[in-house]
Amino acid sequence: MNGESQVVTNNGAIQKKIKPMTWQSDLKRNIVGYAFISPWLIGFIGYILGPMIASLYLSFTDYDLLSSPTWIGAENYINLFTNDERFWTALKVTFVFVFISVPLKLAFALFVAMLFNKDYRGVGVYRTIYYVPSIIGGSVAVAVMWRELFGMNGPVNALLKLFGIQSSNWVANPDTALSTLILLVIWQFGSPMLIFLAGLKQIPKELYEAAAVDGANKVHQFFKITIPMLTPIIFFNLVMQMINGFMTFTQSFLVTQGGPMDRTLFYAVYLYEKAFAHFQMGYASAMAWILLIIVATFTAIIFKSSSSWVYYESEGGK
Amino acid sequence: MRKGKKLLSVLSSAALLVGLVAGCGGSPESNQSATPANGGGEKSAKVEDTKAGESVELRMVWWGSQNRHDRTLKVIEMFEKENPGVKIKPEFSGWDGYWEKLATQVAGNRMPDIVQMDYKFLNEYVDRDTLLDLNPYVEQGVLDLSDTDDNYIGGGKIDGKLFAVSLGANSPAIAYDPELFKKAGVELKPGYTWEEFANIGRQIKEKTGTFGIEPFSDLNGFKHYLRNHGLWVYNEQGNALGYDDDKYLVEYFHFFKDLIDEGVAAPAEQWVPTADQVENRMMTHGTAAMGQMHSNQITAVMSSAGRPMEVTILPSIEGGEKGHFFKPSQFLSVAKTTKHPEMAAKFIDYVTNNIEANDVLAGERGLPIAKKVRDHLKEKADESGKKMYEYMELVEEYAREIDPPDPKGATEIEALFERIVQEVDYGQSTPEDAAKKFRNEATAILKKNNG
Repeated sequence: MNGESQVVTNNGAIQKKIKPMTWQSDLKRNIVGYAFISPWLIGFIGYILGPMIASLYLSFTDYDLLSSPTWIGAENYINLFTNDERFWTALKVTFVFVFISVPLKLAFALFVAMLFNKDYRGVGVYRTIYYVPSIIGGSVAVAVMWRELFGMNGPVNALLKLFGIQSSNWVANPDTALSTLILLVIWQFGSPMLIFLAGLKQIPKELYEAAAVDGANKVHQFFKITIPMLTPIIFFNLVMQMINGFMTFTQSFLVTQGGPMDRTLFYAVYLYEKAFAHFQMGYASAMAWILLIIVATFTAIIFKSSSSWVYYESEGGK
Repeated sequence: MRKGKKLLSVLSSAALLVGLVAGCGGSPESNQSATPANGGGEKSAKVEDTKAGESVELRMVWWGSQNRHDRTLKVIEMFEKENPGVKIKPEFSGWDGYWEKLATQVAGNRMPDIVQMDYKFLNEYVDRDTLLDLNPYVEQGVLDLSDTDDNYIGGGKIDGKLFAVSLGANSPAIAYDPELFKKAGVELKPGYTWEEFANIGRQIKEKTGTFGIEPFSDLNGFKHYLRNHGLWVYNEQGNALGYDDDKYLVEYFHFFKDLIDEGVAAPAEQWVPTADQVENRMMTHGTAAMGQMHSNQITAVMSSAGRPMEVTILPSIEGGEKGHFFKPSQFLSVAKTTKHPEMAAKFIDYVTNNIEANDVLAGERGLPIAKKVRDHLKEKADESGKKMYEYMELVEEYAREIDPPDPKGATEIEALFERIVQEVDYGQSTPEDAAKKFRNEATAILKKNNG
């Protein structure tokens, strides 16, 4: 890009001695590069940047899909914050979901990764098997299975009955519906697990050996070596899972349809309902932008905080 | 290496974030509407229809159960055989997602040529100028409605223009399990009151241990109750509720909630999960003796129950008005953007009047509107089919004229009503508060849409 060569100086301190390039010569020099990334570039502009700009515009309009949008200023945003009880419900549900499911999922993924970090026969097969849920987890079949599993006459209740515990339909009970979905998401621990596994493999064996010589037991080793050495991976997984968590849609849409009584009304589900069931595209676009801001804020917080807890060996322990 | 990882996480989280605004990646709709466009965006400058040998391609969409898909596909095949060169591309799905997909297609200027339409959406689509007035084709004789009573056509007309042709008439119904009724020694005689309805439920619960009643889940039950009182949900302008006193809704909510508390009606936890799955309702599983549905769902309920089911009308009020009405179960409409309006009208005519086609369709969409077809089908109907014809004859005695089509925003109000019913039945809200809440929120929706 152009900006690299036209150096803006602070206090006139550094002045690079590259002659300023025109954008034409810049383009000429880089044309092959652009050609190579063009599939991505076209996709990015056509399918991401374009729709994003469109959605920003639509968020300030009243748009019902069938007739053309009319400009209404910030009315959508004002209505969301002052006049929409379900918007707050959706936010609350989503926050609870993210703050419970993400740490649990990461902890569980790490736990399973530790189990698979040993070499024994058939470990590859097990890794594959345990990865499967995260591939199929968002599918309709699994959602239906989950609904039956936790249904009134499902296996979960049958099992509980053996122990003399009487319970109800987990998915239809307002008190347990969200937990059932959280469980479903935790069950899809495959991708963070794989990443943890890769991270675990990179921790030098000498560290453990040295610690063992000094008399550290397994628990010490875990907290003093494994966790600190894994922090970059934890950081990465945390950010990814958090973003995914805020965008969770399928599980609620398919298993509970946001119900019972909005107890599992994830933000994305409510957004979808507004957009496609009630044809309020403008309103839904405004919701999408609010979600973007929320997620960006949390991502920024995690990034900011990372300097105090993420350990990069290559940066001299910083 | 580690630095690379940090960069990677920055980049990939940025990418994820961006994907979020550009239209959630995980939504099931995102990739399925990739059928090639045919209808183009051009306004329907009248294109000549097929002469022999020329090929015409129409797209048709409908919702329904597997049963309906099979029957409809067969009829399309028959129509194509009779009209060489015509190709009808079917797109079908369940009710869930149908309207989302259709609206998206309309927005993308890819509206299918022939659209299965619902009474409550008709106004919205006509309002937005997306449907074709079919009157000219009726006058030209392409679409023959001479064998059809005006009562069946009226529902598809707005301001005198025919925007939709009914595929069948329909009315809410109570489905019940005769086996349980016999065991309990009770009977539902048409004309029975709400109180008798409750008492029969009680006796069934007492004698058989099965829940007597599956509570009504949607607005249809309350519409019926209001009509019993000579009222309607919406006012004439469609910008406010049509009843002034909340006592009706309070009574209605109390009716079911009290029965639930008594143990006679199934609790929310049991009926809510399957309320919108015809094949999976409590009556079909034998876990409740009676429940409400639509008359055209009888076939589906019976075939999934695998045992005889009976149908009868909804409760009445002593000295009250008739609650039932003939609702067009669904329509066929033609898109304004179609290039082959005449062929589309011809297809509708085929579905409406052709005896062989209706042998295949077998009234699965509701009571056929052409008299010849109706008489023919009734004669050769199977058991569940006969039940429907007999039921619709029964309804005639308990029906009066239909209220005007639902106003814009009605779908949102129906969703609202279903949520509030659940709040009451789960015990999260008292009938009194719930009725107030419904009035407030429904009024706001109507004002916003039609104010």
